[in-house]
Amino acid sequence: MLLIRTDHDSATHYLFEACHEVIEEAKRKGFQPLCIESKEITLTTIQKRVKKSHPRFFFFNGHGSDSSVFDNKGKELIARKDADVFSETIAFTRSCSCLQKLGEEAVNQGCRSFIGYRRSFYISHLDSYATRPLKDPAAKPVLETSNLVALSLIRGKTVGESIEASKRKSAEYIRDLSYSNDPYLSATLPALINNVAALGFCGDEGASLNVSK
Amino acid sequence: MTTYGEDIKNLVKERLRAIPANVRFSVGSYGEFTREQLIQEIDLNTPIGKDIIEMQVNFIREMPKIIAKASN
Repeated sequence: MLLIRTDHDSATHYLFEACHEVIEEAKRKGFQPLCIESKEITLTTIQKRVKKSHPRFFFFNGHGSDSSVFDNKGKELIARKDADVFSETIAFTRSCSCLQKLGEEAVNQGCRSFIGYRRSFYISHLDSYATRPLKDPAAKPVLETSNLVALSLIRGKTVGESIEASKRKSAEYIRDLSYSNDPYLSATLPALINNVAALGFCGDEGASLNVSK
Repeated sequence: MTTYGEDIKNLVKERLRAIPANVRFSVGSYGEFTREQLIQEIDLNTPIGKDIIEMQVNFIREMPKIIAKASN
């Protein structure tokens, strides 16, 4: 498993912290997650690690566009011309809009299945929790439901099942938040709905990581 | 991206004004915004402004379906 997590602004810091849960679950399930962070996040490093370790699961966390994902400086990291880096993996990019073009090209170049978002990925959060993202009640539903895609894959679910698990959990949160009087959570609802509507995949819906259950 | 009229923009701005002042939205690589900043982006017809309108309109459209699904 290859996990790339950028951390250079509020959004990426929230995603960086949210990955802890995924890393711990991966270890429990017998994966040896290779984390690429900080200055190591370069295309050359990623290509070398992919060539050496042949990951089954490629999990990217950071900013993106419809045709690329970005590094810690906001510069293009993996573009469509580099999409062979996803070959033979199930990829999940927790980034804006990548599913549209990068995902399609990744599958064309051998990615088994590419999970991502069709438009901007929103995170609602409270400014008082900037240094404690995992305690932020406004961010929790967004982070938990998107984490569930990665967690479900690690637990042996197929791509289709993993996306469905995330959408089901999102629907539960949406139902509960709709009846909540908490004004802070009124920002969470549209973010959650946006993200669940944007979540999708290209490639093989039945692909899985073949984890012993 | 669809172009929305003033009625929709005003609706979205009112929805944003209902959000507490200390809430932030991280909008992809655009950055982090307060509700006032998002309202400004809408008024200026920026890509972020259009994105937030799209997000709120999708919210209004999708809510009934999602609630129905979650209640089953």
